[in-house]
Amino acid sequence: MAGTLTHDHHIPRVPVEHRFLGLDKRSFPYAAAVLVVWLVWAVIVPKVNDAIAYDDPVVAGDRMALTDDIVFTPAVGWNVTAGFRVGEEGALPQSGAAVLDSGGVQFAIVPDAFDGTPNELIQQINKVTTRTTKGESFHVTGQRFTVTTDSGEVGVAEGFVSPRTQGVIAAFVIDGTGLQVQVVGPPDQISAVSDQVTDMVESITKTGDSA
Amino acid sequence: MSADTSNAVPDDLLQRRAVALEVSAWGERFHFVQPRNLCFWIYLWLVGSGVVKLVGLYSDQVDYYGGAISVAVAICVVYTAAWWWWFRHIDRWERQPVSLILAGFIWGGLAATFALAITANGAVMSIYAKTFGQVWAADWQAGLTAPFVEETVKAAGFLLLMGLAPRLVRTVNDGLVIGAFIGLGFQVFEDVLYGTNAAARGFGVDPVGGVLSTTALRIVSGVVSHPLFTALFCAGLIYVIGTVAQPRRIGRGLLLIASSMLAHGVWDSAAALSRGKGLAVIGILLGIGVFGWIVLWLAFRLAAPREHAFVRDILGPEVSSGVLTSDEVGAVVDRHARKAYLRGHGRRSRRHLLRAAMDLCEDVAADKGEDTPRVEAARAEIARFRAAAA
Repeated sequence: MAGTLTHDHHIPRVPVEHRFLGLDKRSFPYAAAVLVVWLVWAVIVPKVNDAIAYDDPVVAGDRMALTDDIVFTPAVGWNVTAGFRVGEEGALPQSGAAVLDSGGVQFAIVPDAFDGTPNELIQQINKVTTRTTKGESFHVTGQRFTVTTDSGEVGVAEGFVSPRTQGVIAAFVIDGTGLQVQVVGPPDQISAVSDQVTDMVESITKTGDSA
Repeated sequence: MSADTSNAVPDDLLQRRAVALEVSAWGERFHFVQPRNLCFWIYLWLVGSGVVKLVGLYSDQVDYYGGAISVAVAICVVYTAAWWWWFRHIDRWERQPVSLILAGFIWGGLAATFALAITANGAVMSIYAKTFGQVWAADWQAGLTAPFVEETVKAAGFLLLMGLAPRLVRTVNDGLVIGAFIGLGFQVFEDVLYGTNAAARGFGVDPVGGVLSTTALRIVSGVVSHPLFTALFCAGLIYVIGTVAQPRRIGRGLLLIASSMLAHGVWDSAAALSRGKGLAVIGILLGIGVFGWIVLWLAFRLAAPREHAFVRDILGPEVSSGVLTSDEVGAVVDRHARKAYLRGHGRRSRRHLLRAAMDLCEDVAADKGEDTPRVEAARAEIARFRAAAA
């Protein structure tokens, strides 16, 4: 049938009145609608997101809830880009991974179930990281060292470097919950905030009450 | 029994058959490769982008999580096969060409999921977190992102298929069936993605265990998920846009679209709406699931008369020439008439006869109403089953 976009045995020539640059104009409204969907979701909305900065600085007294009963005290002035403060009211009780940044340095703690020692946890983290960043040359640097929090939780830490970043990874295991602590950023910047980072790590503690 | 319908059948019945074949476009084939069609190039571009994104996401993961990814894929293949079979089963009037529904499935799985939804979902959720805070975002971001992002990106594929096959995608039934396949593609690839993410839980100590628990949960919850939402949304689009075969019904279309988005949003927000109370979560999930399935049932009911009319008009000349009886055609399209027809002896042969009548309908459509050897063979089959049923 002339003028249709499909045919039983062959694709028909596009009728003259429906041609534009060799294309069938009748397909344009559908194509235009899809381009609008793409433009909105793949271009405009991500650009709007990029244009909005996180503006959620830590204030004195804040504590971050990693689990129902494991918390840490973030450094005042750092920006919270992910995670939940203790006591924040929502529809659901919230706790989980926390990510903060300051001056190009990112500080992240990821909690998850783990049955083992801090040494076994950091070995597992290294194994997964090495095998999921193939070609990225993830390398541990320096000696592994012990980290002890103010509440007496003992963990281990070591430096790492990859072509894209460098920093420190620490691992704790508190009553079946593993904590992966990661600090990444330019070396100079990390040095500049090292005291605050140390304070945050040492503040990790298990509370008696639910967060 | 054999009949030459062209000699004995009144012209008005043949005319109605011709109109039904023209409007329904039943029996037409789908040609995917259409270089003159802009929809073809946009489809290729966005599916290609999805493939690139998928490879980028998984290429680094395969070494460590390869086993877990394989398990997730294997489960999802079985899951897809089961839903695929059921969707083909409910597409009973004139089944869409496999190439067309495959194009829909691939759009849902690759373009909608990886080229569009992942980027958009992340951006919208990030905007929510920056604007309303992390806690609010954690509670409501899924329910207030997915219905808008995911339903529109899946529907975009349906629009491309309308542009690629305007004669094949034009009834509400087409919207329901093709929408279900687009949604199935989205669901399956999303399940693999969720399964792979779950593999990393617990610091990746037990990747396969993580995949199994998450995929099992996703399969159970898949009863109310993307195929249902997308079927409703695409049926609504047909009503809103209007086609040769379906006059525009904007209100009805918007209601279906809103129902799809409401069901999706409430489903994703069940935990927050119930404030985490276990029984309340189950109640909300059950309630919205029942709501979704009732709306789907209504949509099929609303779509059915159009398809029934096509069947009656296409088979009308066969009744006039004695190949079929009006009771048999009535039994083909109407459930109650079918029950009555199947009562009594020869039930098995009668059921076969009804299936053979649908075969005849398909063959008449495929051969454009001509008395071809294939159509004559279909008529002979009906005569054979009638003799057996007697």
